[in-house]
Amino acid sequence: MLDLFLTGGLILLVANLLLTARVALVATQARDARRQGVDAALLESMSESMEVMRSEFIPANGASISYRINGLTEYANAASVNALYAKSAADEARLAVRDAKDGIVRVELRLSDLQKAIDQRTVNMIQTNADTGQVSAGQGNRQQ
Amino acid sequence: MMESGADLFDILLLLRSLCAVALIGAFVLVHFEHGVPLRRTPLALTFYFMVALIDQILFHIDWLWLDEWWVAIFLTMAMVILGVSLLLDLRELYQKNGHAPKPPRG
Repeated sequence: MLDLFLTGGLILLVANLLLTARVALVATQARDARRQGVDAALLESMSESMEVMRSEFIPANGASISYRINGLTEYANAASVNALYAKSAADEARLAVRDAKDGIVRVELRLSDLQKAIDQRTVNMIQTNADTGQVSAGQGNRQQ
Repeated sequence: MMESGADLFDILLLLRSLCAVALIGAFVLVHFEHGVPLRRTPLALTFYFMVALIDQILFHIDWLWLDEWWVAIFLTMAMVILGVSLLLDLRELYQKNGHAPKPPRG
């Protein structure tokens, strides 16, 4: 009886190990494929979101909007987006900015937050007024 | 045709459950039925249940980095530790007694 349990247990243990390796491999492949899909979708939605920002957040005195994806800070002039380029979209997507003068509107978003923002057409933002140095947080705020 | 992740997880869950039943069964037979106390296996068993519990908690609170297959890897590693501990304990018993543990007489 003991031999039966022990032998069976060890055989199942080896099978368990092999299948775990297989599961890890399949899961990694699926994750990579999903990530590539997200990258493509992200690039597309980023331009959409910039359109939303441009239309919804009207900066005063040439203010700029900056936001961060996965630790990178991206900059964009809300009045005129000069360039949108990406090496690998989720890791390094950047919106170039020019003509940022007086006020700065800073929006910091993580990838998941950005997706939410796009879906809800709203962003969590932190406004920094360059003149007063005051910081205020809000949701979907408009620059006055 | 490539298996889907969900199918593999189901098979793995079944396999892991059977493996746990077999190993724990062997442990129970030696430790309780044969009356031979084991040193490492109870600790390894406790460790396995702790890993299972912690994994479940972390998975259910949706901790960012802990994907489903990480849970599978952790549990399999804990299961391997359990199996090796059982083997080492039995090997020790063989070396000590010169035979496999037998049920007590009477």
